[in-house]
Amino acid sequence: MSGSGGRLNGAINTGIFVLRRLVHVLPTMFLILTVNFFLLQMAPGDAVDVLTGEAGGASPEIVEMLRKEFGLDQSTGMQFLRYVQNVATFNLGYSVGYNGHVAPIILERIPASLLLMFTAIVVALIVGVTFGVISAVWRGRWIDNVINVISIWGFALPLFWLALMLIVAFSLTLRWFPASGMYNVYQGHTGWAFVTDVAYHMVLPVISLSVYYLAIFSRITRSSMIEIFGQDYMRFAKAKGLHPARITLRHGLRNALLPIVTITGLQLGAMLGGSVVIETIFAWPGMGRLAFDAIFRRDLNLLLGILFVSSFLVIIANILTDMIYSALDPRITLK
Amino acid sequence: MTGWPAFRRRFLRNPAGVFGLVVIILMILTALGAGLLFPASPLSITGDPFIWPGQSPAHPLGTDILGRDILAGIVHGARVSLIVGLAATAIAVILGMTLGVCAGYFGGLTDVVIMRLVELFQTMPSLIFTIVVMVSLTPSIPAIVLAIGMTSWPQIARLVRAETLRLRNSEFLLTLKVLGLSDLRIIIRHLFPNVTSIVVVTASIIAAQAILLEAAISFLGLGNPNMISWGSMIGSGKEALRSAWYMAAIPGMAIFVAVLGLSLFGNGLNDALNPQGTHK
Amino acid sequence: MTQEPILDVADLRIAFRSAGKSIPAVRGLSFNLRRGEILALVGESGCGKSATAQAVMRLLPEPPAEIAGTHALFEGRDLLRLSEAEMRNIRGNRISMIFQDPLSTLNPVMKVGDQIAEVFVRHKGMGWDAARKEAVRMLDLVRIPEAARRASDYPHLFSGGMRQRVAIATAIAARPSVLIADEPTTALDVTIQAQILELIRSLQREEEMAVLFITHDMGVVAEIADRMVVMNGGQAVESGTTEAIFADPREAYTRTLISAVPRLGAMNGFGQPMRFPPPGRIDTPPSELLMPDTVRADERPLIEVRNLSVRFGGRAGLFRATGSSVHAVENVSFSIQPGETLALVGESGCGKSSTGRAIVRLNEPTRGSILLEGRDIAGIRGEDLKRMRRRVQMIFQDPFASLDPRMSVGAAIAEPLVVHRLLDRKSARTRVLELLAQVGLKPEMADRLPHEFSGGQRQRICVARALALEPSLIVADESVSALDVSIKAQVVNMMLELQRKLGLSYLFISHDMAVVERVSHRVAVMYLGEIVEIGPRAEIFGNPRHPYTQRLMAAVPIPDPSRRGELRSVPLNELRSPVRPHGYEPPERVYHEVAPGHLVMKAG
Repeated sequence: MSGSGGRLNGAINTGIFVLRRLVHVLPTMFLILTVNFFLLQMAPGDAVDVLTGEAGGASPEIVEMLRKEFGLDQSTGMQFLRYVQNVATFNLGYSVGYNGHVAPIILERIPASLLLMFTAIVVALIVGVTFGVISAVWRGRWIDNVINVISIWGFALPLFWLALMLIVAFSLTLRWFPASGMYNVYQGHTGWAFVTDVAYHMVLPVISLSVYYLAIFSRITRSSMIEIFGQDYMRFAKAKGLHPARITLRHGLRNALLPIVTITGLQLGAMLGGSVVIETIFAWPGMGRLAFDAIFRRDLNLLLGILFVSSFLVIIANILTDMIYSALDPRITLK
Repeated sequence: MTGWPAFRRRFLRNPAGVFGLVVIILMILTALGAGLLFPASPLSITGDPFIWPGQSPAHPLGTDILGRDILAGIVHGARVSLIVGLAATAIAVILGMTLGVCAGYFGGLTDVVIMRLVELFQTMPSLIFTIVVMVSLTPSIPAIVLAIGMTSWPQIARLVRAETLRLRNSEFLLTLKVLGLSDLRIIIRHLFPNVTSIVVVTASIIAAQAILLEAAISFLGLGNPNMISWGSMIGSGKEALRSAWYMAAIPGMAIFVAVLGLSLFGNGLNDALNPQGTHK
Repeated sequence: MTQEPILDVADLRIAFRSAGKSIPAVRGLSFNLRRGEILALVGESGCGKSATAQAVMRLLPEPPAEIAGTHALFEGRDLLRLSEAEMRNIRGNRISMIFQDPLSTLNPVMKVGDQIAEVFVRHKGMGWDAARKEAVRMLDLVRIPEAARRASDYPHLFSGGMRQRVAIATAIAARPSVLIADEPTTALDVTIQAQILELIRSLQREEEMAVLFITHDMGVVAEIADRMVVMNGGQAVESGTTEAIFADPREAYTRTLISAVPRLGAMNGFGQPMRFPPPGRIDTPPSELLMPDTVRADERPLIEVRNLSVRFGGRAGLFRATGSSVHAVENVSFSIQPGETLALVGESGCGKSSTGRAIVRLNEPTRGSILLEGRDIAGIRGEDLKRMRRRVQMIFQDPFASLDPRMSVGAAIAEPLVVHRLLDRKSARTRVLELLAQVGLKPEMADRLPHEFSGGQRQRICVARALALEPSLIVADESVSALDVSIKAQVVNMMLELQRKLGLSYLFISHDMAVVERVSHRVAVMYLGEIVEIGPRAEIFGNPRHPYTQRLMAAVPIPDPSRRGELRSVPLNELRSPVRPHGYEPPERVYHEVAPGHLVMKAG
């Protein structure tokens, strides 16, 4: 088999895999819609009352538009069909609070949220996995105990509270890092200066968001490394006379990455949730901050849109996770 | 495993686990005795605002922006955390064990349907889902318990399903089938007892997560406004972060200790249930 | 072959510290390994043989292990006192090791070529490119076909036997002077075992290595070892040349071990199954051990299996153009008379377990019928199925996995009685005590939990529980395979005794040809889901006609060093896979009757 042919086949397989997974998630998306619709129905009053009333009143034209959009004159079943139809065309409805369509409002906020989350995940992975490996190698020694304490504490710290305390310490008292925003609006930085400015603003939110996941990754890495240390292939590697560092990293960690990838995939949803609180505290202009504003204005339609979009993001991320997993584990082929 | 006494001995040998147990017991006692210790509503104003901890003997932990006693708030807030933690965990355990065992044991279509539900609730970010539930229903303790329970059971269900699948093909369950035991008897008499130990450990983690989630919801101002909770105390303390950071710091410590206690208790249980440390 | 010892172990002591106590595993073991010889360390599980091997390599984590001793001299250096860095230069370079389970010995996420190349990089200072080339040469040396291509495959694409070859290639890559092989063939099928033994022996000659061969299997010892050390309870009980010890074992323990080894061909001339001699009495005359005729040949067959097929999986689906299914059992027919034992033999994946499970209805038959006393049980459910369960019972391989760890054995045995409403609680208790006595256990053991019993005792408990329902047929799936030889002999004797007393029939599923020869009246040989040969035991063993049966027989090690090398030259081919494309129909099979009741599948 020639190299380029193999690559081409690989690309086709990946394409088929992604396609099949997307087909596979359709029922899940449908279920999410059902839950959304159900929640909308649960709210007191009819949907338009909920959407307009609590948002502080709306003009009669908008009320009329919404009633038509939801088909409120029709049966619940028809309303549901209408709702599904709307979402299928990526029409997530109208936000009274923001006086505009939900979908573009959310889309505009996604990049900032992704930037924050991606950075936090990378930080949590690098630090957490390093901690876990150190802890497993020197199991029972003082360093293991220190790391265990850190990870148990990290798990127990409410992340919004940690964020507030970091602000008190590093922003209000020491004045090292800014406490809010994504960049300095007054300076109007461009190019590289803008990048460093954003990075500077990201320090505290990223720390706040990553501590909990760092704790989780550290524990998972530790326990899977310890399990792997008991495997025959680790004993065999030792019997080959290899250096402990090579045994630990090339043979041990390489295998331990598999459960870590799985856990990362499972934690993504929780992390999106966590970013709501963190973005709120740091006035980070992402989806989470938007969600907070929507709570404040009781803008249910916008919230439902955020729930739907964030679920969709989790699904995409899980497909990526599966692809990474199959790249790491030769026993798994994408199917 | 060699019965309860050996388990108890192993558990009591682990100081961290015992600490966790003590925290849980203290929390229960505090919650039960809140009315006796501070008969007045914790929401009522009992002194001057902005008293720092240690400044006034009448308010050992100080007062908040409005002059409400912080210690009273902490003591009463334990109730909400405890109720939410326990009730949401109970829902998660009951749903998760039942559905997990059914999915693993019966397989086929049952499995497909249940795993779809698991996927659904693991796809929707739990905090955002809870927020939406709280906004569309009236904010109340039952609503938050329901929302957290709904998003927590998949963890248990996945775990129980995996363990059931492992046991289903083990000689242990195959033998029982050949002996003519009914599915119901196999599940109740043999499967449930054998998955309980892993469920108990996960349940303590779920209770910890539930407390954190409830705190976040109250912090965002979505809790029941008529009940004080640690999260809402942090939320109102946030407004005075610059001048009086203790208002946010103290309830946060309470959450931290409660969650720490639950997770240490869970770890202790895990170590005592799997003495070789080989199991997860 | 020189007499100079290359590894000289004197007064080795190993203990494991657990809960503050030090539990000795090896107590003062001395032996020496000479240049270019194969020395076997033999003993039953827990005798300390594996701990010894790992202590010599210093692979045991200390703590919990505590290693002491006069010395373990290797090329003039004391292995027990070398630093870890010095040991690293010896491991994989001067002394190498291979382990029992080839499926878990190789790193699953690393190409096999790289796993071998690592040794060259580490010990020979080679660059990766040169090392990879050498790795291909090593794969070739251990006779892996298409070595150059397979070097870049991952371990999961290799069968168990092939993976053990890769492990051997890794171990001998640096041309060590000592190879320690820790039960290297125990996890393998007999024909694969024969190939691996052959490979180790020829490599040992070519490379002039000394081999320390650790095993529990006297047959393998007789097959491969020049000298042997018999271990029991962490000490050497007897040592000497293999010929001398097999010819004239001095110690009672050695005699017991040797007598407990089933010998293929030991049953020539006897029509009925035969018990194993009691411990320490190898010389018991066969007439005392021979069982009376229990087969009620004139009655209607207890069970008749007709054209049974079991297939798994393989649905074609969306985006999946072709499906495939596992044809685990294909068109299998046989019958068992009351009081008769039919053995189903074959190697892993041949479908013998699937057949057994179909008969107790753990697998749904895809096709065919299973007549129990004339009634088809293939499709029954509900109450009918429950009634059927009282007639047909099953015992599995792993007695440690077959019992609920949380239930006392008395309750476990009583459970089927209660479930089938055969007895009330009080009489159930009496019956449990009877059953325990029947399988040779004491009544006071009823209240204990399974973990308080040894493996052999647990298997007796499983038998007692199966007997509770007074079945006519017991399907025994590798039921004695996991037991130590001496225990195995006792459990087999008990099963034969129960057959005589209760008139039971057995479907005895096993890969262990020698035990099968002892216990069965008739034998069916399975290969790739089909029966290739079936007939009376004496016919199959004395006059095997199908090429696969012949190969299987030839591969069984004989516990008699004087007959070494008699068998061998097993061709190097692995068991083919029973996975077939969707919709595959097997060809029509024709059987020849070569002697009364002895049927052989015609080639084709």
